[in-house]
Amino acid sequence: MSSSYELRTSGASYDRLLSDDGFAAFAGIEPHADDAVERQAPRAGDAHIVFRGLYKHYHTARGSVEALKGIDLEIGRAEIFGIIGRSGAGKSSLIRTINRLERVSGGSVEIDGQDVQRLSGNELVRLRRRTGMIFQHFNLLRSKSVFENLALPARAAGLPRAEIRRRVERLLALVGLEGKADVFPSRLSGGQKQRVGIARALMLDPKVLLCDEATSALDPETTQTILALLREINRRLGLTIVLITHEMAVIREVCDRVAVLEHGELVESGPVWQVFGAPRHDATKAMLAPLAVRLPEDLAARLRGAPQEGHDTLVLKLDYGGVEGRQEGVGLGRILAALGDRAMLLHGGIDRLQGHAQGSLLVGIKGGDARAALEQAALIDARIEVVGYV
Amino acid sequence: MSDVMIQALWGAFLDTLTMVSVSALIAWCAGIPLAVLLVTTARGGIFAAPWIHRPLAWVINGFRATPFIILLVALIPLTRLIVGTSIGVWAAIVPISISATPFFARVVEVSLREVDPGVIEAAQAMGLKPFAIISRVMFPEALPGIIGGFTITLVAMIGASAMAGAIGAGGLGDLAIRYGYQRYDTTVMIAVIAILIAVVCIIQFIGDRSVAYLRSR
Ligand SMILES: Nc1ncnc2c1ncn2[C@@H]1O[C@H](COP(=O)(O)OP(=O)(O)O)[C@@H](O)[C@H]1O
Ligand SMILES: [Mg+2]
Repeated sequence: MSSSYELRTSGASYDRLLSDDGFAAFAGIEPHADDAVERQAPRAGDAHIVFRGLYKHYHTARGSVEALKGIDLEIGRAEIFGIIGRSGAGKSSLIRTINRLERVSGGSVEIDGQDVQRLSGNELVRLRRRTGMIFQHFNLLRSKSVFENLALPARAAGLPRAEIRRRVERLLALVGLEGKADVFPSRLSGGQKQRVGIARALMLDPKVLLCDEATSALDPETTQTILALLREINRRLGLTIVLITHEMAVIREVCDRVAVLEHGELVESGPVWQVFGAPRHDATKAMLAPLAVRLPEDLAARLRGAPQEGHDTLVLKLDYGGVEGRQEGVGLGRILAALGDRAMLLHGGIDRLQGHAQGSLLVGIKGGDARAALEQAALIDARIEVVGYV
Repeated sequence: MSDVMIQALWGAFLDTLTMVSVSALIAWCAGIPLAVLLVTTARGGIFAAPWIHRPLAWVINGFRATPFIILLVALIPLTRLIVGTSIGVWAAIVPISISATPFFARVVEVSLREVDPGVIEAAQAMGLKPFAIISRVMFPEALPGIIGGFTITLVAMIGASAMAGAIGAGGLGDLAIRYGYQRYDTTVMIAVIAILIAVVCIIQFIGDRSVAYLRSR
């Protein structure tokens, strides 16, 4: 986040304010533990998919690549779990160990307490039938109609003809593609193809749906509709959805919890409102940067590290989010009380994430002295950063 | 052209048709399994097995490298063993199909390899077993390429059948050599060439149309 500002006031007390703990200590504020809202996080003991000390190496001509380095993670039943990371972080490797498209090099993956590595050939087939998967490039058969694409897993599983027909009809209705049964994939738009992909993944009534960059090839609007569909499926069918993406906006839109992968390691995980509201790891912050509130360009150009002639408005950034106890909204009273009527709202906004208010406000204080303002500002229940003077 | 000549042309045409269609049937039935074996036993294939893949690839390349005219002679003992004679239409089918099969197998192999790995992965993720992946996914997906390759193979086989005529296999090639070349009967030569051109065009047309239909969907 700091990278978006060219100048920053330094000083021990300010740095302390930049971290959660420092602020809590400084302001003497305890998060309200008692009014935590109901979250999607799984109840203890209801883990659906569990990774324990998972390692994955690839052996290539140029040597061994360590794609995953000791992943410990639990994914709860019927939640939408997001895994985010930059390209090459190991996301695909991780999701592909769940249905054993990729074998693990160390540690284990368990589904419903069953070690995926230890399954026999037939058990693996059964596991895969219970685990749907959708892909970035949809991976539909070009040579088959929509109906035949959907029928494929069911035929291979030996379902009776009438049952296949019934399921295809039901699923095409679910994904909003009634009447497209006899169309070939090349005649469909990207969003429609992914709907077919989703329907095909649901043919054998899976308990888990794995999505590997399922919206990365789609435009933003189509992405929204596909994500809405995934959410609906999660609600209606009680499916556990594991969704990997490099797009923060996707996680924000549908996921209950999120894990951040960086260079094959899990660097952060938790409910989306927490991880997004108060990202701790640099990788998370970097990925959130596009969504972050920045100083508008004209102000950024005027920004100085210390007050000067014509640059005497202190700019503070107030970050809300990531702590318990902010279900209602951001109180303006405290800002007014702390900063007085010299305070101006420069930029920013508050929105809601999983029932928690979160966001950033850039506040200007005319003629403000940083130290005095900060002492006052400590009364505000936000993380505070001194941006500089404009 | 005399009635006798037309009769001879018709007979030769039927002989060529027999040679090519029976050889084509054999090349199809043998080439596809060979191609599947090549693809699946290759490194990274679904039954990766270098000890099968490598010798198979060598044998196939060996047959492909040998000029057909040499194969024709070299295979005479095998032909005698199978057909009982080394001359005639049925005798020609042995070298024609043996030379066409490895060629067709390679063509099919290329088409199978071109199947989107993502689609194969999707099939694996659905719980399809290897045999089902081959028959229900790889084969239908590769079909346009296979048909296109089969068309090329058929045309090459017509050429081969004409050459087989040179060693007494019968058919249009035989007729062209006996009348057109040895007796300087240009009319027969031109008639044979016209028939061959027509046959090749028809095959190519049907092949192209089928591929275009399969791809247009
Ligand atoms: N089949 C493979 N062979 C060799 N290296 C691989 C293979 N698949 C992935 N990798 C490597 O493993 C790392 C993680 O890749 P991947 O799981 O695809 O990451 P992501 O999906 O997050 O982009 C990368 O460095 C990639 O190059
Ligand atoms: Mg990936």
